[in-house]
Order: sequence, then structure tokens, then C-alpha cells
Amino acid sequence: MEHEILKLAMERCDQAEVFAYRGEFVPVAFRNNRLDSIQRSSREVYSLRVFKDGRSGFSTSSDPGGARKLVDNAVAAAVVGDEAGFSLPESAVYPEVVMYHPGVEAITEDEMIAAGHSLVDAVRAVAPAANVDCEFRKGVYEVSIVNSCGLEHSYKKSDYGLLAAAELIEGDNLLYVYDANNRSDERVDVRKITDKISSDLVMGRTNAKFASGVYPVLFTPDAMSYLILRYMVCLEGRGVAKKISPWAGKLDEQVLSELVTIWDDPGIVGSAGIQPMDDEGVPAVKKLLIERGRPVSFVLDLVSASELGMESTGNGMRSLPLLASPPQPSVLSLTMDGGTGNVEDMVRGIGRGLVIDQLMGAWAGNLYSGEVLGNIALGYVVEGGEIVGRIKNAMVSLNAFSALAGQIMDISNERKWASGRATGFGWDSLLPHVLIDRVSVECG
Amino acid sequence: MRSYLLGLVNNCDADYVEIRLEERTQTNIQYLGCSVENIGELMIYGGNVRALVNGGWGFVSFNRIDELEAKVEQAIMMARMIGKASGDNFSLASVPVVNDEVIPVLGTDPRKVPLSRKKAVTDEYNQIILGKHPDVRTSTIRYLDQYTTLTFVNSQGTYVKQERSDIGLSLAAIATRGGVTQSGRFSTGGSSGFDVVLGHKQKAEEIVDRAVELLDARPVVGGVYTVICDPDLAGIFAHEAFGHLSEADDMMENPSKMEVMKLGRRFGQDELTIYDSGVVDGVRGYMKYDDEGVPAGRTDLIRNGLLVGRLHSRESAGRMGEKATGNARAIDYRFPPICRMRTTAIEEGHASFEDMIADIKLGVYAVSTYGGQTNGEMFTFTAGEGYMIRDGKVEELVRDVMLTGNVFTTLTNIDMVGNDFRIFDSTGGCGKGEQSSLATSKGSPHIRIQGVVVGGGKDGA
Repeated sequence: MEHEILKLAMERCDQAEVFAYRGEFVPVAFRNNRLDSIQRSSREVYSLRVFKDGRSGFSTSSDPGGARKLVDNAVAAAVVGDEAGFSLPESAVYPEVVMYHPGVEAITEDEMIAAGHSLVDAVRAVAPAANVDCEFRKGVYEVSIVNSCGLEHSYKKSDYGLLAAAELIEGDNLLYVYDANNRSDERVDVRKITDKISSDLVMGRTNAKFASGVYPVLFTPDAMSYLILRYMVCLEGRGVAKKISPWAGKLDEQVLSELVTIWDDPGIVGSAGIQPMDDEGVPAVKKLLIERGRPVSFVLDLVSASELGMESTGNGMRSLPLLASPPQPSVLSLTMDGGTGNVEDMVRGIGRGLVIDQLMGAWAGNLYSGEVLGNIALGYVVEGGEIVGRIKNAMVSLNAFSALAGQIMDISNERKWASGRATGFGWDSLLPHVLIDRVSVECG
Repeated sequence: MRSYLLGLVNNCDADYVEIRLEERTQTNIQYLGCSVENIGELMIYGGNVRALVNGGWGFVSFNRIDELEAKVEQAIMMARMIGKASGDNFSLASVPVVNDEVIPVLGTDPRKVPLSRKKAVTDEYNQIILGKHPDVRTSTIRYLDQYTTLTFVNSQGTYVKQERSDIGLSLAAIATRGGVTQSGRFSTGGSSGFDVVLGHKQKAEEIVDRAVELLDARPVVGGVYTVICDPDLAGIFAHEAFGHLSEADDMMENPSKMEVMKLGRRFGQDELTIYDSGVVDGVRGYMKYDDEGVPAGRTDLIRNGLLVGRLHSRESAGRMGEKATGNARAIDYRFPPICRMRTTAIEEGHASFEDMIADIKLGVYAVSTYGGQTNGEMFTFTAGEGYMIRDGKVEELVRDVMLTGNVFTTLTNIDMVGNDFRIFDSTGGCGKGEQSSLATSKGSPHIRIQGVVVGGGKDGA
């Protein structure tokens, strides 16, 4: 199909690129403590980008018989599209990475059902009144790119994930906890997710009093992802090219503490973000984004790279599976270096303060300002170095830039994948726990 | 097509089977500053089969609308596997069998407006935003229109072919000075044609002024305040604070939640009425039928402070012994329908803005919104901007205003409901689980809430 689309497009255009996505997914869902449904989804979507008379046009279709209409739409878009200031990439040498694990396809529906039952049972064993939902999802998909500059590359990738949540209601006290893990191999750590949810249900049952003020706060990897989001937005090429990003023109300047080193690493075997190329066919490689507190690389796709007079960093990503927009720059698979702290010791070192695990609304606001404001959906009060109960009806506020510049007290050596499926960002992040000093907390 | 599809689901070996087919054309225009990030038309095409056997659901979704018979079989087989394993059974709430075709009445049909004209309209707004003030160096513009044909049949004999038009426009002016970035925003949308995106040049100018003023505004000082929410933000409040909590699929098998959400419980003062309606004409949340073919109507959630209703799918209504409300919605063919909102609103009250503000010594007037989120009990929403209220007067502009609260206390703390009801639409929508974003609308007059936690940014950040 992609070759047919390319051929049709090249009859009318100067350059063309077809991105094809085909996949099959099987989610098994438990709701309200019981098996609820099995689904089977087949996906087939084609995106076409064309250059015609120097302008670029884009369209997408999930109609497998709609090649001609797809070309018509892309050509019509090119008439009103922007001038294309770049050329499509030529064929390249791609890293050889293992993304397809036959073990994922081999997982049976019965096995997913059994795994769901044991998760629900294990959580209810510690919290009998809890309401547990979970979804195991296995899938295999293929990405293929062909363009008129001779590029032709495809890869097949397996995908296995678990998203689990539990709710415990006692009177008007609602406790909602969740965790998720997505991988390209079958090694989703069901035990770890079960334990995390169970322990949160136990620790979160008791509410603790807390007063507004400024405290040391331990941000877990999930909570850290909202700070990291601000840095990624600042490195993202479109904002840099438009000079909206406060980090435009600041490569190699010390903006964060020397303790902060962040990578884009699409080569970690088993991770969900592993891939040999980005969605424009540029090789995907491991690279430093922030080295000891200094931004050293922007996150660029072909368009933003051309606007900046630079090379694409292999970060042109499309939003799967609808593919409603042309590629945008995005990190592929983020990792932050761990420190030397032991998480339990770090909690003891808080004295009086908080552990924050889940934030609500912290994605909102003006991301370039670095301000992070969020309701503490799940957090714990620490008194005398011990967790004494859950904090509720409170809001945290800090600035992501100053927090990781001068307020870091410790960074853990232990790291955890914060799932892009749970955060809603397009990427998974492997992050440590970070203890941050002087964080402002407002209690209701 | 009608009899072919009905034939496929008739006399199946299942308790219930439905087929939903979708054909959608979508036009997107997105600007970032002077660059067109995305322009063009897409085709979204696909379908699904959902089957219920002994309380177990099977669901098959696909892009290739062929071999439907085999897909019906597959869904039934999966449902049977679940039904057998789960041993849980229930009946769907009974609803009238419908046979209908719906074609919307449109002012100017967006499908007949050439792409070049759509671009010219958005371009004009963009030029205004980028040309008005040197501190506004960039903008974001998002235009979306879509026309969807949904064909639905079920094994009870319902056939609905429903066409829907949906359009939205969002403008943002982004101002930057001395390392501080602030934005001013405007959104609109609807379901009755292209005209809704026209005539907003004045708004484009205003958001530039707003963004520039915000550069000089100080972050609000965090604390607990009496807050007046403008209708836009109050609408988000109704959506986040109570709409999501009313989605019955999250309570239908959860006795402790049903206890919390017992009909008749007092949630607010007498003047508070919150409803969700599928039949507000012309808004994005309008629909004649939901995605289970159930006629959409108005459902009161809170009437005069008391809990009186909830948002049901056929399953949740059946399990709870209540009536289906037409709230089962799916963002597209890839997903089964779940309990969702349509247009969620706080009904108009009697207070004037002057009444509300008169006795506030120190408070916050929170205006417009970036959106919000809830986890059932607690919610947050972020204002576009705020003004301090001092001694009954609206005073200086403040920024970084995020409000948070606990649904059980905050609703009770609404002590005044305004007499200036409005409905709001945007290009955005509502997310639940992985189904984001769904076209929903919101409405409210000004409301006043006592004792709201307001988080603020820090000076000099």
C-alpha cells in the first residue's frame, strides 16, 4: 500500500513520504474487581507528506482503500501549506536494536486473565474493600517509511503493558492509586505494580494533619516527570526556533545543578521507547540532552532543524495511532542519571516534610515559566523521618528551574520507569527520586 | 446497508450485539507563530463490533470494514470467554428501539468552505495577534472541523445513522519579556456550522492585551480565599468537581461509592443545580443519540442542592436499576462507549456580580481556564488569570492561579450563583482513561465559593 501511495503522489509532486502503521492489540480488562472484557483492535493508518512547488502538504487516512483520496488531500494541503525549507532524508544506517520479542505474542488471553485475577486478589488481600481495575495489553505493530529520496525502512515491534488502579472509599474519604508499566518485551513487573498499589492503599488510609509552609519534599519518579516535562518543552525544537523557549541560545550554559544529567536513549532493550529510527526515518540514537546541568542538545525534527540551521536529532515523532498531525519534535525515551541516595534514608533525612507521588493538574499552566502547580493527589506527611499518613486537600508549588538548580538535597540511586501511558506525555521516563528543599505547600 | 447490518446482529448466539461504523473527515489548521504546523484534511474510517454474553463483553475494532460476519463471530466468542470466566451477569437497561437518520441543520457547512478560506480566516486572527504588540512574539492557533457519519445497529433492532458536524477554534497570544512568558487565550466552537469561528477579531486583540498585562502581573500569593469564578471557569468546575464523579460506570459495582453518591444526599445549598444535557442546540456537546443509540436528554445531577441523578450507559443503568440517560460515548470507533459528559452546566441563579463581590474583604476573581483534572474526590482547575478582590472591588491582575478543592466540601461552599449564564466551547475536550479528547461543552453563570485553596507561583521565578 505505501508504495502505491508513493507512486501516486510522485505523479503530482516533487517529493513524497509515506508513513504506514499497522498493528494488532489485545487488551484484557478487569473492572470493579472482576474480568470485564477482551478487545481485539486492528489498526492500519497511512500518512502522506508531499512537497509540491516548494510547499509541503500533509494528510492521513485510515481507509485502506483510500490511496487516491489521501494523495488528493495532501496535494490540496500543499497549495496552502508552508514553504518546505528542508529535504526528506535519504536512506541511512540504522542501529540494530531488538524490539520484537516473540514472547509477547506468545502470551495467551488465558494468561492475561490469570495475571489479572492474581493482581486483583493480591490487592484485595491487603485492602478487602478496594475496588480494583487493571488492563493487560499485548500487541505487535509495524512501522514503515518510504520516501522519494530512496529511503525505505521498516521495523516490527512488540508491546506489552499493564495499567492498574485501585480505589478505596471509607466514608467521604476517597483514596485512588495507580501504577503502570509498558515494555517492548514480556517482562512487565506485575509483582512490583501489585506491591506499589497495595502499599499505597495501606499507607494512604490514614490522613495526617499538615500546615501550609515551606518544606523539604521527596518527589518520586512519577511526580518528577512533571518537572522534567518543563525541561523537555524548553529543549523542543519548535519553541527554540521561535525563541519562546527560555533555553533558546542557552546550549552549554549552566541552568540546572551539576547533579542533573538527562539522556534521550531509544536503545534500551525491553523499554517501550526503543526504536531504530524516528517517524521521519532519521536514525534514533542515544544522546545527552542535559549534561551536568547544562543543556547540550535540542530535540529536533526535520522542520525545526531546518529553521535553526541544524541537523535533525532523530526526534520527529507522530502521535500514534491516529497520526492527525505531521511529525513534531519529541524525546523518544528519557532517562535521568541516578545519584547516590537510598530512598529510605532520604525519607528519614526529610525530618518534617512530604513525599509526593501523584500530582493532579501539574501539566497545566505556562510550561516555559517552569512553574509547577498541582494538587497532591497522593502524598505522605513525614514527621521525624517517618511517614505518618496521607496529606489531602493540599497544593504544591515550585519552580522546576530553580528547584533543580539550587534546591536539590539528594538524588536516589534507585530509578523507576514513569509510564507515558499514565502521565499522558508521549514518552516513558526512567527517573530517580529527588529530594528538593524549600518547596511551598498550601493546605486547605 | 440498514437491513444488511441489522441482519448481521439479528439472531446471534449472544445476549446483545451491536455494530458501529464511522466515517469522518477532519480538517486541522495549526499555527505556531507565523509557521503553519499542520494544515489539511484527514480521513478517519473504521468500525467495531461489541457483544455481550453472560455479563462478559467482547469488542473488536478495525479499519477494514469487510468480513463483518466474521468480526461479529469473533466478538461473540470473546464475550463468551469472558462471560464464562467472570460468572457475573446483568441486564442492560431497556431503552426504546429506534429507527432514525439524523442530518444536522447547518448554517454554513464547513465541508463546503474551501481550505484556502479556512486558512484565510485563521491567518487573519494570527496576523492581528502577531502584529499588535512587540512583546507578543508568537501565537498558537488551532482550528478543527470534522464531519462524522456514525451508523449504529444492535440486536434489539435499533438502527441509527447519525451525522454530526463539529467545529472549534482556539487562539493564544504568547508574550515574552525578560525571561517571563505569559499567554492570553480565546476559544469557541459548536455543532451548527462554520459561522461560529467568524467575527472574533476583537477577541484576538483582547488576548494580546491580556498576555502583555500578565507579563507585569505578580503571581497570586498562595492561600485560602473566597473566590468568584467567571462562567468559563465555573463551567470547568462543574465538569471536574461533579461531572466526573457522576459517571455511573465508576460506581455501579462499588457499594462504598454508591453510598457516597446516594440519591437524595445534600451536596450544595438550595440555589445549586447542576445538569448534563445532550440536547443543547448548536454546542459541541450536542447529540440526538449517544453511542448506544439511546436518545440524549437532559439529566439533572444536583437539583436545589440535592443529588438527583447520574450519567448512565445501558450497563450502569441496568446494574443500578435506573434509567439510561444517553451518556454512553466513545471518542471514536477504536473504543467501546463509556459514561461521559455532554454539556455540563450550573443552572442560572439570582445573584448579580455586584452582590457577590460586595462583602469580600480579600478574595480572588478567577477568570477563564487552562483546564482541570480530578481523581474523584479532589479536583484542580487552572485559571487563565485572576484579579485580587479587596474590600469589595476588583483590583490588580495576578497570574499562576490554580484552584484546588475537595468535592464534598467545595460544592457546599458555593454560596452564590449568578444571573449571567453562558455556554463555552473550545477545540479541546474531555479525557477519561485513554479516551481523549471528546467534544464536551460547559456552562455556568458566575459563582462564589468560600474557602478555596489557591496555589500561587513564587515571586522572581
